[in-house]
Amino acid sequence: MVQLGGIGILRSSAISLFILIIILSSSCEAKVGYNIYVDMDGTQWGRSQTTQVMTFTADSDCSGKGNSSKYVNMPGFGGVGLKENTYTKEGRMANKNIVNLTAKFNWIYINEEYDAGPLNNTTVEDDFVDLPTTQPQEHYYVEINESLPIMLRYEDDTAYVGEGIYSRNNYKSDEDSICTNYYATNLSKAVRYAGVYSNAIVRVNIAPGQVDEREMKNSATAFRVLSISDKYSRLGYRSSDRLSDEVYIGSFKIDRTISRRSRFNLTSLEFGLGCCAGDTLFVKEPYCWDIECIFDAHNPASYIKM
Amino acid sequence: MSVNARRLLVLFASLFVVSIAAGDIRISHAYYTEGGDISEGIDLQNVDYANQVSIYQDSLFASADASLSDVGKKGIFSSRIMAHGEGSTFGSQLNAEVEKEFNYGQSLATGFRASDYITIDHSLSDGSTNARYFTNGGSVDEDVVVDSVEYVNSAKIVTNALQGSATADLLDGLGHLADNIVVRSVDGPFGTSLTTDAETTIHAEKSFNTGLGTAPKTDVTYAFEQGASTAEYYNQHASVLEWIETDSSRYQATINNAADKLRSSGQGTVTQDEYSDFTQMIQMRHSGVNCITNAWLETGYDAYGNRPDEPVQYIWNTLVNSDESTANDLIVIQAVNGNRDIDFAIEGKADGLSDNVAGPSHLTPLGYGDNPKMLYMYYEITR
Repeated sequence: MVQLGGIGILRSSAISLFILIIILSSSCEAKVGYNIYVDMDGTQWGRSQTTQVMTFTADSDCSGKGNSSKYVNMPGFGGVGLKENTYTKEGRMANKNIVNLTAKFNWIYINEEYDAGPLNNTTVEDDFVDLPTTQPQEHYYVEINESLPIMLRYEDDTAYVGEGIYSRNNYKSDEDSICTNYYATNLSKAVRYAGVYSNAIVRVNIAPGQVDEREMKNSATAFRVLSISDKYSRLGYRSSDRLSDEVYIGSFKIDRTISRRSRFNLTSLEFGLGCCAGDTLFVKEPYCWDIECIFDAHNPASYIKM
Repeated sequence: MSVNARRLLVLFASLFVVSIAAGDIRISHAYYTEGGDISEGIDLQNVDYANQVSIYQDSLFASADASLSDVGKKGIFSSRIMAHGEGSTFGSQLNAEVEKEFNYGQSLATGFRASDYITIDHSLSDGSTNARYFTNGGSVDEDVVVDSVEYVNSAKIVTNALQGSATADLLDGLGHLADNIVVRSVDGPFGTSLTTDAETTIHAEKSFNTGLGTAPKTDVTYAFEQGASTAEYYNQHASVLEWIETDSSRYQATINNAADKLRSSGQGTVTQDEYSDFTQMIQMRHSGVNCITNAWLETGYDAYGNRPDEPVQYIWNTLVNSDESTANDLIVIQAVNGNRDIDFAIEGKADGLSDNVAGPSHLTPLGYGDNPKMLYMYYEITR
């Protein structure tokens, strides 16, 4: 058995079935945010950003023998969330899990304009040909200034020996999506994940057949998995147009770290008048933005500095 | 949610589906805050639009305005708003088809720390609008068609009540105004429909309110000159149809309508020239009883057989009064001053109410130089 970080030695206390379900959805707390959808002559664009102002902590420590099932779903927090689905056949398992979510809301400002432009292309008379005049084109513009700081940290250590364990996890943070998938009879796995989204300014210009979207934001994703599996391991990552997908069949040890950070210095003017003052423009603390800050390389179990 | 509110939601949803097809651009919004949320759909064609939104944790505010982009070409505007606040569901819908002028303004708010409200102002001078405002316990539907008439409407929905007002004024030439309003309240529906075509004067004022904690009613005052007008107004006890045509004369009336009471009073004056005349028909139906009154007036000749172009004044008064158990209908024609013959008469009939009908069924012409005289027709229905 491999021992990782905070994983303890399997204990022999027996349980026949262990079920853990954590679901945080919009029905629990009031939703705050917006949806916008635009369809201009078939040219479509949309954006949605919602969150729930809350703090949530779940700390569990479980070990035993038998069958188990675990389902965790935390969607809809400013694009930061996770989903876990694990079940085990007869075997011995130890699991330590910490979920910590902090979601705040400062403001969302939306300014949008639509200029219908001329209905038809008009022409001017020329000696030989009709030339189209220069006319303003139909266009739509929106600027969204949003500040809804969200931080989700997740720590999971699992060790299993038995007839089989199936574990599928998905971690989502802004544009990043990371998934892990295991099937094993002997599995040791430690996962550390943090998703952070602070604020952004989004500017979108739409004309018929054309969408120009620019997003300036402060967000980060940090992920590390250390696993030893004897059957099947899969690790996938997708971020915008970046994609990686790895599959390992057999006995493999995987140690993978993924991080992404987007940072944009927003000026006070870009935050609108009177919304903030001086250094408080940014939600600097307790968030940290560097992978070294988020992970403590020597002790993955205490990886996030808060 | 009450049955009425549920019906309103269903109707709103059906209107949403019907109206979704029309625009060059379609914009959908949904805003969420603690204690409230607002959904909004906008369809635009040849209409410029701007919208500003501020969302905080416990409140949200939004304001929008729109106007016709290319004046002289057809513009289409459609806005649908559905809001949920603390204990209230409210919303609005406005569909407009315009060509010469259109202006629209909107502000809305909801949330735990904000009043729930929607205010909508719009104006047009040529085209048609269909507006709907609703909240818990009441709704208002307005259908308006105008041609060369400046129509300005303002409505405000606050939590469980709504109120609004509008004015209409002739711009130039021959104007047309068709204004139909239906108010629904927990006490029942009532409404007023006014159609006026005139070329010298059109002026109308309208106010309405309904919802919980209010005395639902609608008041319509209108005046016109050199034209014709049809006014229909009703509640669950009575309905009235008035048709008036004037030539070189003016008529103005006020209609006060509520679920349990209906009243109108009008006054006509003939002051213009030798071609003045005035015709009126009133048909009242109260609790299943029909009363029909026809009255007319025509400027007569002077002692020399001419129709002199001199001011002459006749006053024409109508009064309809109806509540749950009683209805009165009175028309009075009074010649106040004149130096010529006039021909004016009233005739009427009522189903099974001969004992309660007062006044002559026909009058002979008033002679030249006579003192002011008065004709009247009076019905009274008691249940």
